[in-house]
Amino acid sequence: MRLLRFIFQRLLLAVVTLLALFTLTFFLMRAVPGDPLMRTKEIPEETRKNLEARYGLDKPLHIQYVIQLKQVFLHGDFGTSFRTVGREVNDIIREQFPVSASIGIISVLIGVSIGIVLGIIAALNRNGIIDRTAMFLCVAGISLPSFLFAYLFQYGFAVYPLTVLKISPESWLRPAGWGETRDFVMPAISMALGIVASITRMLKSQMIEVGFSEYVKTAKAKGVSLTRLIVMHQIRNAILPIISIIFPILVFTMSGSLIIENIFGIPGLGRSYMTSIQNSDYNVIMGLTVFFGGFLIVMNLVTDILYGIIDPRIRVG
Amino acid sequence: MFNRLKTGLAALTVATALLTVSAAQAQQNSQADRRNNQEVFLNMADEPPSMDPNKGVDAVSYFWLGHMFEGLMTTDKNGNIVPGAASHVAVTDGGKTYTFTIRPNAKWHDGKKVTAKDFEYAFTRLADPAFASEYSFIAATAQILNAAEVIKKTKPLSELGVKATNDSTLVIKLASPVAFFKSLMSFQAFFPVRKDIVEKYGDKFATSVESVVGNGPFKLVAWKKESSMRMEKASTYWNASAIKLRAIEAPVMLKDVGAAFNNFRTGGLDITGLDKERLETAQRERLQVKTFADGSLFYLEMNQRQGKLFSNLKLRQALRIAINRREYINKVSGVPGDKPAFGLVPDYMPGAAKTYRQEAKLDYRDGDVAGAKKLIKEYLAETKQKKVPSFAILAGDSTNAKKEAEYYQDLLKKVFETDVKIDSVPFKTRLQKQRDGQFDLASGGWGPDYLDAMTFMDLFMTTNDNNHGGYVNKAYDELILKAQRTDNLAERVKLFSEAEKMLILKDSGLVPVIQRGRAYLLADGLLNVRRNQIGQDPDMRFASWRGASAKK
Repeated sequence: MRLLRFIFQRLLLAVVTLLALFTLTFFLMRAVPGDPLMRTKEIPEETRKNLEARYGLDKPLHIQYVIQLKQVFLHGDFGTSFRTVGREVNDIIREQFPVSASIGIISVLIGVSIGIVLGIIAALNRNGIIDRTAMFLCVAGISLPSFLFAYLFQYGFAVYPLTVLKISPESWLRPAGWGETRDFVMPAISMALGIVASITRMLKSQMIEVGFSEYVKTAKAKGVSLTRLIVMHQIRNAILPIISIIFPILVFTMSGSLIIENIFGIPGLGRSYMTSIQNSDYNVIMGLTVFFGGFLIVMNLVTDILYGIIDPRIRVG
Repeated sequence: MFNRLKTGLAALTVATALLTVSAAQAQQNSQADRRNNQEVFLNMADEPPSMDPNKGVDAVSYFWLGHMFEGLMTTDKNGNIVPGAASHVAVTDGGKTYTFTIRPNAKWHDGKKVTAKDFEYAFTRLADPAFASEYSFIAATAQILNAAEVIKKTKPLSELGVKATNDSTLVIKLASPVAFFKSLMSFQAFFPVRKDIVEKYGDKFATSVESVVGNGPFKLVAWKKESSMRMEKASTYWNASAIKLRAIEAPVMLKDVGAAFNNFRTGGLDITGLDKERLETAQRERLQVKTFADGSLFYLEMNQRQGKLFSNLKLRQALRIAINRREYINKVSGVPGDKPAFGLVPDYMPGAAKTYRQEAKLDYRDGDVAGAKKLIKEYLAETKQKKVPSFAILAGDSTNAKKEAEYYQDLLKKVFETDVKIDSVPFKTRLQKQRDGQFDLASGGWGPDYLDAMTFMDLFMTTNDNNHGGYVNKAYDELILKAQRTDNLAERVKLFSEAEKMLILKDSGLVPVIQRGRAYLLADGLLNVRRNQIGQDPDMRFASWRGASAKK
């Protein structure tokens, strides 16, 4: 019951948050110089007027606001793109989000599993060679831009094998493209690197911190076996904070990466978001912003509930 | 510990390998297969913004439309204007009436006959203010009777000078003769459109394979949004025997030039753009690098409005002669194929018999810092100042825009001996500031809307929205208006030449800098790929693979 009430309150809050997000986005994007009809070449005045009338941009701002508010919150309809004629924003989300999301989920799965293993190994092998290597790679993974890895992979996994080693292109990775299983490999690994880096670092420090805690000392004093000590006491407690960052990471990666999508030719949401901003494509900007906002809110809620299940101490209520 | 890590890595490698092998069954077209099948793979950076011929305004849309549709007139493999969907055209009434006869064997991709009504419908739709095509102005440029008034809503759509008198005859009446009217009739905005398809799909017209029906040499067969598109040769096309390629496909839509380059290197693409960063690698790997003029001309806009620094003629002149165009190309753009621009009309524009530029030479010494300094000294003496007031260069925020602005900054600091600032802002802010006249100097450019010098020359008329610097000269306007009213080609070259000299030599109303070139990679053996300044580019209609087997 308590949980249900908690969820209900949070959902109510979510609607308010989304309304605020909608309002802010609506006015901010109109405050930025340029509008959807601005081109390098001026559109002749008469045509511009005709176009504004067609898109409803000639109406006073507050009327436009109310119209779109109703469209979005009552009908769940974000309208059509100004740039890509006839393309509905809802279709953009429906068709392109699963693409970004699938790559995101795979890269989080890869990243988190490797990150956890590496983090534990690094912590147990503190200051040893594995630890140092892992930490060096983590710093590199966090500080080097992802396009660099993307290019390196593209060269190392595709261009080099195909052009120098002369591997047949039918049975190997292709540098860019979408629609086949193999097309997941490079983008997912490129995106997973950063995740590996942050999870490893975080888990390592958590493990060390937990290692100094009273209950671990007690367990040691009690004569608990080393394996049991590490698995049941150290890892279990160290992993908790990881869960709280996994969901934000998941939301972030599932939203699609502009760079990864551009380099590997992936029809995800990241590139559409960027294109919409460059073109002041109001409806697409609004649609994607509200969608991402809602997605983040839902994921946060899920995190909070899961957190309570894993750690009874912070159960809601 | 090491062992465990190794095991983990090994497992990962195996997993990757499995995934890769699983992909092996997937069909992929290797370059060798494509050669044999007469298929071409190329990269289109973007999803086409509009596949509706009456709406498309960008290069990507033009590429697809130009292969899928055909206007009354078209271009042959050498770029000459020849009859397209119309087999015959009669020009009467002193160049003010064009009567087109539609080819009896001109067919739509679904087998229906192309009729004069399809053209009447498309032209009317283009001018319809309710439809609000961004390209509607071209109907006025073509001087179609009452087009300008229809767009301004001062006359009803029914008075537009386009009528299909029967299924095969289209009569177009013009307000005044237009020298390049036939050439205009080969462009996208004047392609035919099927009324029944438009009405069937409404707002969804031309948003999917089913909802767009063309009449050109290629037919759209696949379209995955933001991902890939494919056209195949249309058997219904009246001139199908001239078309060698069986299919043209964009297997990816890569915005990233580096990624497209890697795709080309591995045989995933047969033609793709190349930037200067990858030029050396391409040459080292002995890839076939080609260049072409993409049609755009870039110049420096000087704000000549009263009270602004560059309202002074001597300073404008100093700027025009101080810039060293070849040095600019070497130091800033670095693209092979870039050419210096001294005038406003690019080299490829046709004139009366030869190109316009060959018939109307315009040349002056540039990189003349001493000459510029002399002019500045005179300016200082006339205005009784010790130093030129400082000014700013308005620039975008891309790497190239900044690099360009910095080059100008260095040069102009030396020439003008004053403080030169850079106002670097986001793209749309720059456009807004240029439009509002809030700048001293800004880089501007123009790409042609049609293949005639007019598309550049009318830019600097007093009332033109794109005349950001605010150049005003009644005599110039008069010359352009005269050229608009005549279809005598030699006379027009004379008028344009006079106007151009007035604008550039006498008034220094703008500083032309470069005619933009582009480099691209082309697979060996892919022949007859035509690069265009307007219309579909690359034009693959007449391309073919050399020595491909002719198997079916």
